[in-house]
Amino acid sequence: MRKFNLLLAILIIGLAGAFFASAFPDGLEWSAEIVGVEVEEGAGLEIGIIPDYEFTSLSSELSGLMVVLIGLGMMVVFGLIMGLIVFRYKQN
Amino acid sequence: MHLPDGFIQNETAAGLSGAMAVFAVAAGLAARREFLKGWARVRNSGMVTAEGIEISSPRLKFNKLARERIWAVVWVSCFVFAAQMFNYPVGDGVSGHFIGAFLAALVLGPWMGFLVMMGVLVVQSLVFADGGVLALGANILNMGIVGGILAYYLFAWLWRWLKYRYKFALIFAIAWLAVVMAAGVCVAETIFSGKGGSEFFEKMMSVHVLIGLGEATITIGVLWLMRQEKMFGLERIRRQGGA
Repeated sequence: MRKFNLLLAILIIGLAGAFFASAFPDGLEWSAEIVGVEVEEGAGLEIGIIPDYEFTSLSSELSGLMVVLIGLGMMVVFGLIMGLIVFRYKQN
Repeated sequence: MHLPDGFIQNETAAGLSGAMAVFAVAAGLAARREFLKGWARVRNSGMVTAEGIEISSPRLKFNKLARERIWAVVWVSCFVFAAQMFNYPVGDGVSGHFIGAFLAALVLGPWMGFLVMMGVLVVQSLVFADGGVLALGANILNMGIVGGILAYYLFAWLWRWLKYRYKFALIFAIAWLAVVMAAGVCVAETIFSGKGGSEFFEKMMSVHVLIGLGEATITIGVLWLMRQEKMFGLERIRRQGGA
């Protein structure tokens, strides 16, 4: 089960990263600026896994990565609440 | 697949949203009833000595089962949400993407799988404006019921008919069919509302026939990584014959 959870975590992080890279070609460059790492301009950033992808709901300055992380956080909270409601049991 | 507002008549959209809210409560109650029945089964299997001393703790078994189920709900919710982020624009504000409702139903059971899909769609609609708020009921019907519950029961019936053979082949076929069925109902709703036509039908179907192959591959891949006893939806079919 631990191995499976690890695989799943890698898969989710990978999906989030792939989404970030595909939705925002300069997303990695932006991340590099935030953490203070120098990167070559445009190197390897033009290739998105879905080049014509468009996330129409992104109307604010939130980056794709933030959106995914916020969404995943919400889903964890939702899953926990829903799971606890449905699967709770009061021991007699 | 996420219908925006205005694609279906407001009266229809509001009616579907109300119906889905009622259905969600019923699904929650059904999921809980099933779980408690499962707990009773575990409790009855507790070993008791001739002196009447219980030597295995049914309480611990129950707690472990509950924890597993709760964490399964969490990871399936996260996975479906993340996977649905990849959209192929179909045109006119509609997109095609991985659905994951059939996968959720196989892992969590049809009722809990439906609730997970509903949660994903509600968050996408209210927080990220992915799919209309008024069209939420229609989207839940398309992806949660047609793509999840209906596909699950079709799979259960066919798998039982095949005497529990060809599991992965059948999962692949039904996962593909689930996407195509959901897209078909989506188009039917727009045609019923006088907004869709043959061009929209062709566009949606041609895209979703291909997306269905991706959905089927991902579904098989995830289930292949999982242990049999963690697939509560599949175990449920074996135990109850899918009824």
